Amino acid sequence: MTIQSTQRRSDGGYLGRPAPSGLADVLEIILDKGIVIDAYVRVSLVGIELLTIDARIVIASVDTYLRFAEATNRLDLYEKGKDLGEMVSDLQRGGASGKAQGAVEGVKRALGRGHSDDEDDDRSSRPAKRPASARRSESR
Amino acid sequence: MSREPRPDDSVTSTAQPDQGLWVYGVVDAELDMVEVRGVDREPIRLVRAGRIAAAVSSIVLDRPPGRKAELLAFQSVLDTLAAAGPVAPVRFGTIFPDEEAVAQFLEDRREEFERVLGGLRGRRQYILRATYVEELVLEEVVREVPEIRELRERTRDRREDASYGDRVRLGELVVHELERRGADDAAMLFGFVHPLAAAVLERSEVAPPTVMDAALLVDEADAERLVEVLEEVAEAVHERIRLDLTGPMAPYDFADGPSWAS
Repeated sequence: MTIQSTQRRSDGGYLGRPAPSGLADVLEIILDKGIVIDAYVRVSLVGIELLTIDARIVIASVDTYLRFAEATNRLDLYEKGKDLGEMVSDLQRGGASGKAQGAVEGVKRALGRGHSDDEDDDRSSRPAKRPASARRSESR
Repeated sequence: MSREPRPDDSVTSTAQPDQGLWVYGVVDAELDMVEVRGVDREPIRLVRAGRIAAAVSSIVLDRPPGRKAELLAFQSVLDTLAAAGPVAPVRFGTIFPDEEAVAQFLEDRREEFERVLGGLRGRRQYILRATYVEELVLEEVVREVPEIRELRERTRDRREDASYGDRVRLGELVVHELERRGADDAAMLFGFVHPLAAAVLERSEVAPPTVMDAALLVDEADAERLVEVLEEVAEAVHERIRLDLTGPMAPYDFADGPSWAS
């Protein structure tokens, strides 16, 4: 109710403004956060400790490598006009200038001509979750 | 919910009280009380100690935790409090036996809490996440890194078991390349938000395709500007990177003060 959010891109913008409403979203935000009270002076609900089991640690495993290898091999490469490497380094130069205003202008200059092709916006929906985002908190 | 005492209660409940106080966060003692219900729909009240107070509600302990409802109530209370004034969230699931214990806890750490609340005054938390548009960034690395391109060509049309080693190597190279590019892109994004935030924390270690997961503590006066700048950045990078801004919310990541408060 107090988290002020708009639907994603309802105003045609590019910045996503998701509202954390589902259990996973809320867990992700509040888990392991906040002032910690000495365990000797508090009483905890039975079972609450399970919530603190957090599988956030991301380990680059063979499985991860194979997933990215597969994703790379699935690519249907086609030639594009834009030199992405150049674009990236322009972006980085812009970002390094510190002042947000100047940096934004740097980004806009770097990408100035690319603003018309917006059609690919929705196809990218959500990339796959990062591998270790699974939590065991609801397993009990 | 209440129940009739049973004859053996005196034996089974010696270790734990049946009633407790769920503590949500530390606030100003003069906070105007907010209309919000806590866990089990109990009303929120303040336990004061000098200029600070704890926002609490009563809780009956002898029932299994209904976690989802509790999490959502906890979040709702803290976000409502944060809209009314500075609040330092207390870790989820913290319950004290009685008001005396809460007041003692406030008293013991009074200086710390006053300093933290001072740093949170007039500020709200946002979470900024950046994620690669995976397909596009993968195309980028195939195009620009010869070794990845060669391994891809070598593995894509062969049977999986015949190219296992090459595929692991390909994935490893891709992951490392995405990590390297992700670090550069994260540095760029941090460059945009630093001038507009009172404090910035990395919330977790990220792995591809996640580029950035940061908590921002932002002066209310700068909030509009932050959204404007990030909207421009999001537009500029949207082909490669997707930006999501959540908030404003209670300062869950900034409750422990010392690491960022000056």
